Amino acid sequence: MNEEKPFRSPPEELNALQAEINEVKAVLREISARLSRIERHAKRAFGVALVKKSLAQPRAERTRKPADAPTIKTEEALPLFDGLAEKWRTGAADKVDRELEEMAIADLKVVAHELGIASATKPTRRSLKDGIIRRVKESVMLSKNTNVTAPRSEKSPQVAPEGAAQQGAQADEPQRD
Amino acid sequence: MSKSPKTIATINFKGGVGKTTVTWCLGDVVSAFSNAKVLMFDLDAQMSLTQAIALNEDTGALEERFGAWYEKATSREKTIFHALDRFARPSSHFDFPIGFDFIYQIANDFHFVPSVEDLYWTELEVFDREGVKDFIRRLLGKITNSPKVPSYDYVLFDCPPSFTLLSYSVLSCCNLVLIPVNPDFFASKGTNLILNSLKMRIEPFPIPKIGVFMNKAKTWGSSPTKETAFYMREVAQVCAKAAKAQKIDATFFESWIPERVGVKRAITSGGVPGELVDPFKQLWAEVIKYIA
Repeated sequence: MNEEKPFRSPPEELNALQAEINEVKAVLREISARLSRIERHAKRAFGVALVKKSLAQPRAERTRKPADAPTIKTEEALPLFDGLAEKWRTGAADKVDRELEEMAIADLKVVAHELGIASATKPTRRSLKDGIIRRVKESVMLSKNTNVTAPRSEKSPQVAPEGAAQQGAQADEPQRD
Repeated sequence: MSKSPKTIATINFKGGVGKTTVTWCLGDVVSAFSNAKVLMFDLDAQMSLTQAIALNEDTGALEERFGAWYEKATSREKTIFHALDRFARPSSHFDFPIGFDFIYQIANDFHFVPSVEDLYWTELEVFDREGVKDFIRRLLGKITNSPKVPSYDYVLFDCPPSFTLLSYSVLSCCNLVLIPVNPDFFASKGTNLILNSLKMRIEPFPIPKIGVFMNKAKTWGSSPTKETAFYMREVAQVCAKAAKAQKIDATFFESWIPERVGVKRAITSGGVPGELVDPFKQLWAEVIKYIA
């Protein structure tokens, strides 16, 4: 149907709508026929009881088991991560490892998601744990300071280098605001 | 006496974080959308900013107007390298008159001091390292007091990804050290190093304010991705800790610049990409508020 074309009269518009409804009905009939065919094949392959049971349950319920529901909220994930990083920083890596091992996989998923860890559609406990530990290590490394030299102030008295004060007094010296 | 400009040095010891692009985009946005006059220095011997501004991509040669000016500046010994050479000579007077033979006019309110490859050798050729520390301070003084060039509101420095004599000279006199980081571990790692070591390196000069922000942020819709947000949060914490431990003024700006492929090419094609104008305006607003 060309939607751009204006109708000359109401009966003409009604006819066009009727034709469109017939088209939709034909598509629905086709879908229904295909579903019946799939159901027939499935019954033959997996048995009547199993297929009936699975069809009786809504899709969302079928795919998510109660055990999969996370026990932590998304806003709790980052504070939990901070706690893990702090423990790692103080040398309690084994505690972090144990804590992650004891967490439900759904909770690990929440933490990993909030940390932006890319994972497969069905990540394993191992991959989630490794991803979180990687972020923990990054957090520790980012805040680690490994300067090995002493500050200049500790080596010599804090005086401006010779000439700096005189140069500062010169006419072409801009002032830092 | 003319008003002293606010000076901002873009630096990160990690290469490829976007120092050059950020410096140019800020200069371009500020000069185009306000009444401010901006002077920009390329202090990197790699000359990325200089080439991006004036390279004709079709021929591979410098763009005609800039090429002619640059040749003249080089032959008259009016480059940043020659200025440093004059400054380092054992003479009490820094003889280097400032004019438009030293400063190139990109646009009416946007001027530029290009780099030269000779800067690669300054570390070897300049013996008076302590003296060089004052070079940028003195040069800015000359620019500020020169009647031949306008009174600049802001001076931006594109620093090399290392602690050279020139970057040392800039950092010991600038108002703000601007550190772009990227959403990855290695580009964020350098922040802690700068924050925790800059003070001791430039003593006894006072440490400038330090502002860190996320550049090349990966986005999902109009927000940073979770991964980008993770690094923003971590670097913000590093800033807060360093500020407390070192007793320095360091902050993590809330503004972030989204990643856009080919943004460097925008320098040669004449303007900041439309979708990046607002992010840079927001970043600038935070910068100005911070150094006010």
